[in-house]
Amino acid sequence: MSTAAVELHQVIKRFSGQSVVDEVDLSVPTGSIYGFIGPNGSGKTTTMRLILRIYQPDQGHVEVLGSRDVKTADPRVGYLPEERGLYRRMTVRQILRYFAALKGVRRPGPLIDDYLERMEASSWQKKRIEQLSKGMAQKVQFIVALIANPELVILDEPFSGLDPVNLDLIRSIVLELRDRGTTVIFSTHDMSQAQRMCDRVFMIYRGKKVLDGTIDSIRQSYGKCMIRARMANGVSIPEGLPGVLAQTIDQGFSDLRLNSDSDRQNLLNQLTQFGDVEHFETVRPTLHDIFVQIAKPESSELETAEVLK
Amino acid sequence: MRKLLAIARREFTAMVVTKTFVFSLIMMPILMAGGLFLIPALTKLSGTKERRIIVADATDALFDSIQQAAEQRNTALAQSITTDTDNDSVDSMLGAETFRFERSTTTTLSDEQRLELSDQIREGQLYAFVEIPAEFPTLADGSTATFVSQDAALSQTRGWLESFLRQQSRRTKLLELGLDPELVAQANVAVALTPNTPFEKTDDGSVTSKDGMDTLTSMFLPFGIMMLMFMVIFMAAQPMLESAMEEKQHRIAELLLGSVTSTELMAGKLIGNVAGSFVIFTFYACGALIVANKNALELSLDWTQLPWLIVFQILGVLLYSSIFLTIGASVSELKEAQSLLLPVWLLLMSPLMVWFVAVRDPNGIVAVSLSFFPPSTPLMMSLRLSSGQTLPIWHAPMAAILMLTITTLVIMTAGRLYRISLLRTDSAASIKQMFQRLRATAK
Repeated sequence: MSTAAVELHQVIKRFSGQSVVDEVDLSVPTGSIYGFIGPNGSGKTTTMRLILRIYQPDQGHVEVLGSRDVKTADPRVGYLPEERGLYRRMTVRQILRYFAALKGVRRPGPLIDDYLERMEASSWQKKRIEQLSKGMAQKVQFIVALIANPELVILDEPFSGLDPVNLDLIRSIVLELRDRGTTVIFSTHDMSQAQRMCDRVFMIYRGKKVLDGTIDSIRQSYGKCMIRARMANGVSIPEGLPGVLAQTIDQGFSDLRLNSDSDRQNLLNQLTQFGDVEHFETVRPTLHDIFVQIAKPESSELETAEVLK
Repeated sequence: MRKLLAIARREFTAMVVTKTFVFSLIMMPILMAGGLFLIPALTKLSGTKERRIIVADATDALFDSIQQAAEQRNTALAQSITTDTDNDSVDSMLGAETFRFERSTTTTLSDEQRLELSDQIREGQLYAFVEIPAEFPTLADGSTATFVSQDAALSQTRGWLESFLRQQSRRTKLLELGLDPELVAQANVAVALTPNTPFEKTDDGSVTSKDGMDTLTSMFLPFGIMMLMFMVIFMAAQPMLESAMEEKQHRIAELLLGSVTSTELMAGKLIGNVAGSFVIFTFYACGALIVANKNALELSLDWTQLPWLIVFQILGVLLYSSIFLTIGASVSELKEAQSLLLPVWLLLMSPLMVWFVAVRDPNGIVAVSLSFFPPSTPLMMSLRLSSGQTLPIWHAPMAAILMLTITTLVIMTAGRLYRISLLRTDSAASIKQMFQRLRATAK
C-alpha cells in the first residue's frame, strides 16, 4: 500500500456550467478496496468516469496507475458500469471474447473458461444474452470487468440486484482480488457492505468530497462529536449546555451532538454539577448514521463541513 | 489497431450475418424493379376488358371503317394472347382491351343525349362516347372530334382511335391532292443512324469505334449504376443507426467506453461498415453481370472507371454512416431519429430527382454542379462515369477531393457529437439541439 493507484488533484468537472465534481482530491492506495459513497446524483459515477478517462477533467489532473494520459482507455483498468447492458444477440462466450479483444488479451480462451467456472456460468456460455436473467447477465458483465486481469477494477454498484448467493460469490471474488494486490474501487448505497469490505471510504456530496479515510478513522473522528449520557435518579440533562449543538432522547439516554471544538471532559464536569452521572459514553456512529447525517435534505453544506472539522 | 479490427469485425458480422440483411439484399432490387414484372403479371391475371363506345359520326363516312379496324385489332389481340407474344408492348403492360364501337341513333348529339350518355358512363354501362363533326378532320375553329370517358386523358382506347383517325385523315388528304396513298406509303424508307462511340486506337494499332448503346441502355445503365450506389449507401448506413441506438438504449456504450475511446469505437464501426458495403456492392455487381450475361446483354461499361466508383462508394458510405451513427447516438427513440434523417435522405436522393436531365447531358450544368456537391457526389458521379461520355479529366479527382474534405470534416464533427451524446440520457431531437450540444462542449 505504499503507492497510489489513483490520484485526483483538485479535479473539477462541469456539465452545462455546473460543477458535478468540484475541486476533489483523492488518493487510492494500491491494493486497497476503496468505497465510493454518496447520495444519488452526488458525483460518484462522474468521478469514476474521470478515472476511466471516459470524461476529461475541466481542471486539475487525474493520474491512474502512474499515467496521466487522458486520451486512451487503459487496458489495465476493468470497469463494471452501473447502467448495465450487453449486445443481446451475442452469446456469452462471444461477448467475453469481444471484450477480451478490446482489452488486448491474446488467446483469452483459458481465462474465459476459468472465470465462467468461478462464476458457475460454464453451462450457459453458448446462450445468447437475451436468454439470460438479469442476475446471470450481471455475472457476465462482472467477468467482462475482470477479463484482462486488470490492476485496477472499478465497480459501480456491483451488488445491486443480486440474490444473497451471488452477492456472496461476487464479494468473495472482490476480496480475493484485493488479496492478489488488485486495487478495487466500488460504489454502493449499502453502507453495511461498505463498512464490511472497504479499507477506505470516500464520500462525495453535491460534487464535493465530504469524507475520506479509513472506516475506523471516520467513525472515530465522527464519534468525538457524539456523547450518550444519562443522569442518575431520572434527572434530565438540561438543554442549551455550552458546546452542545443538539440533544435527542433515545430509550432514556440523551444523545448530545457537540461542536467540533468542544471538550468531552468539560461536558462531563458540567453534567456532574446537576447530579450523579450514571452513563457517559463517546458514541461511534455507523457509516450509515454518518451518511444519513451528511446527506439528509435539511443538512446544509455548511453544517456538514462544521461537523466534519 | 487490434482493437479497431475487433470492433470492425463485430460490426461487419452484426451487419452482414443477419437474416434481415440477407432478406434486404434480395428484396431491395426486387422491390425496385418489381414493377416491371409485377404489372404485366397482374394485368394478365385481370384478363381482357371490353370497351363499349358509342360513336356519333356526323361525317357518316367514318364509322364503318372504325368498326372494321377495331374488329381486326380485337382479332389480332386475341391471337397474341393465345400465342403469348408481344409481352413487352405498352398495351400488354397496361392490360388488354377490346373495342366494341356502336353507332349512335343520331349523327349529332344534343345536350340531353350527352347528359344521358355521360350518366351511362358513370354507371358503368358505357365506357365512352365519341363525337365526330361533319367538317372532320379540321373545323374552322381548329377543334376536332371529342372523346368522352371517365379516364379520357389517359385512355388507351382514345390513343388507338386518335391514331386511326389520323391515318384516315391523311389518306383522305392524299386522295384530295391526287396522290395514291399506297404509293406514298411505299415511298416511306426506314432510315437508322447507328449510335457509335468516338473512335480510338487499340493496342494492336487499329482504329475502332464501339457499337453504341441503344437509347434505353444508354439511359438505364447509368441509372442502374446510380441505383446500385444508392442501395449500397442506404443498406450500409442504416445498420449504423441501429448499432448506435442499440448501444445507447441497452446501456452498452459505457461498458465499451471503459475499454476503448469513442474515437476508436467510431473508427472501428466505420471500417466494419465499409467492409459490409463491399459485400453489398459485390453481390449486386455480380448479380447484374450474371443477369446481363444470361440475357446476352452487353454492358457497355468503361471498366477503367471502376476504381473511381469504388472511391466514391467508400467516401459515400463513410459520410452517410458517420451521420447516421451520430444521429443514432443523439436520440433515444427511432421516431426522433426519423425526423433527423429526413433532410439527410433528401440530400442523398437529390441526384435521383434530376437523373433524367443528368443522363442526357452528363457534362451539363445540373450534372456537374451536383457532382461537386459532396452529399450528392457518390450518386451523381456514378451516373456520369457510367454514361459512356468522356468527362473532363479533372472532374473525378476534384469531386473526390471535395468529398474527402467534407467527409473528414463531417467525421470529426460527428465524432465529437458521438462522444458527447453516447452517455447522455436525454435526446437531441433536432439539428439545432445537436449544434447547441457541440457549442456547449466547445466552450
